[in-house]
Amino acid sequence: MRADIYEVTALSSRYIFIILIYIILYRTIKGIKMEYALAAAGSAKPSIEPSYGILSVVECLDGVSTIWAGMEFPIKEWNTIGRSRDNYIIIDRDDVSKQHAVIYVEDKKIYIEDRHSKNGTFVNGKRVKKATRIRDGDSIAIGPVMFMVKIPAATKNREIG
Amino acid sequence: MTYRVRSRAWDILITIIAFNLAGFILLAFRSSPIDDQALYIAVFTSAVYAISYIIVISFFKQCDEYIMLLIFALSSIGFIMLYRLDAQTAIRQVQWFVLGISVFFTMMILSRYMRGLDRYFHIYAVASVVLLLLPMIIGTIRGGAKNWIEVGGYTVQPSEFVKLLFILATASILKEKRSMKELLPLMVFAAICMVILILENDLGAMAIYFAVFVIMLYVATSNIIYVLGSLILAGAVGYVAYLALGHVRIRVEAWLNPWADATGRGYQIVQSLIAIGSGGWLGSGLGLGQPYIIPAAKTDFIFAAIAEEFGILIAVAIIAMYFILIYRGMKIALSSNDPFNALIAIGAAAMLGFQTFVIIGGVIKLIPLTGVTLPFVSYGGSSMVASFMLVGVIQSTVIQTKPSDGVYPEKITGERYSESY
Repeated sequence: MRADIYEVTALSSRYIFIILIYIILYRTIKGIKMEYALAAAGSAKPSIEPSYGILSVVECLDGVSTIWAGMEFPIKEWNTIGRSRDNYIIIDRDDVSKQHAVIYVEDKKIYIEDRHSKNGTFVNGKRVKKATRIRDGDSIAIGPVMFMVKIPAATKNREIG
Repeated sequence: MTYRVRSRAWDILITIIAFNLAGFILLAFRSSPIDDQALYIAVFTSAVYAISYIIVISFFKQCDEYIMLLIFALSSIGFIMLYRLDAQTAIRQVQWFVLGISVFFTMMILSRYMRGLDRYFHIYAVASVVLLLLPMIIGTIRGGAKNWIEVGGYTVQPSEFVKLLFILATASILKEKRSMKELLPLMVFAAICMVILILENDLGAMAIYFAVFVIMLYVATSNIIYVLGSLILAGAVGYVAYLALGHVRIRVEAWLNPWADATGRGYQIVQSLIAIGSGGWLGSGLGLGQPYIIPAAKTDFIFAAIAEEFGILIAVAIIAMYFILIYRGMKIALSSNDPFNALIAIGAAAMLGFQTFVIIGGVIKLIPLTGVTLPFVSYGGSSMVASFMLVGVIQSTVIQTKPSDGVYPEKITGERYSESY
């Protein structure tokens, strides 16, 4: 390449280098911030109570500001899911009832119960009518959100089957 | 149907590869027939980044991906600058990088099986002292410091590898011992290391070792008396060294006023400052500056060379990258539930941090100049491999961190979100 053309190219590519490096920096900081926000969201309720498993959000349609795919909620003794602010898991969309469903632990077994919601709660695609036992790998659909139940192997072998 | 998807760090990797390719493509067009070699290196290094990243996220899931990405970004800037200075050096640096990252992955695999590394203080201490003494016996002098040995045609700097041993030795004592009497062997060991480094005229390494030692001491004991005592002792020793040793005085004088002897003692700093100044905010443009005038531009002064051609904006971004890297290291140390692991992670992060501070501070005339390398950027096989070892120690802490009850291990270092959708 001719020296003068190279000079113009090198001078203009300075801006490309600066922009790329600052994109790397910005994305890194943003990613780390996001990671901490998510970690904080996951442990917002102090975990003095033992956790019996994890509800992880595998799908979440747009329009829900409180939940996104990838969030994980530890399953406690008593976990309410619904639209109002006093629930353990809050899904702020109109097709979710105020208190939609509850997941609770009894005799070391995890159950889900529908709280007379308008649009229903579905476990593995079936609408929940009475309290239903849930196991590792089950999917729970409530309005726009799809949860996956994860129960750690150690706990499963010991108590929860 | 659109889903809310968390973006992964792939975008950062792609930006790094774009930067890497852009830099080398520009350098390829610098010579009149297009320089194929630059393009090959660009493709090869990009492939190494991509493969390493895939290995990290698929086999070492708990390990911190941002640390890896920052290392890639820093090393990419280093490769481009080295290639611009001297193509052969850059090729060797790429080889060192591949060696370093292989060592890193080996450490990650081993760390799953290695337990009880905290029992061998005596081995670490003896090995450190022997390695530090080696250059005095069979060493060669380079750049004023006698801290190199030749092994099969390659020159190796043992003090780089002693960093890891020093951290291991310090942590294996500090993990449970607190009282003055119990700490005595450690104090003696640290003092011997410092004295050897002073005798070898490796003042930069000595300053770094000392700072890391004080930080680990404070982290482990929370005893401000130890720290104040060490600092007063260091001040006294420093003052005596300033009065007694000629080369210490020369460094301090060259730092206080390099312009007094700009062609002699202050030459390095003066050239470095001229280079940074002539680059300005945006830099002179890659290949358009004169970084080869700076002494030791490939090793100690690479920061000045980068500041000249890439500009101060990118130099500042490099400092920010080191900040994030060390911050993540400290964060990992804090999340560890084993005192030994937490201490070695703190030590390794502090080691990288002080090394960066000492050399960048020296190059921009913030502190007296001492010759150490800029981790992952400066040319040097020992430095590259040793830096990867320090990061390996930090990352293996994550792997060894046991999850607390009922929580998945990923939870400890922050969840990795939505890889598959």
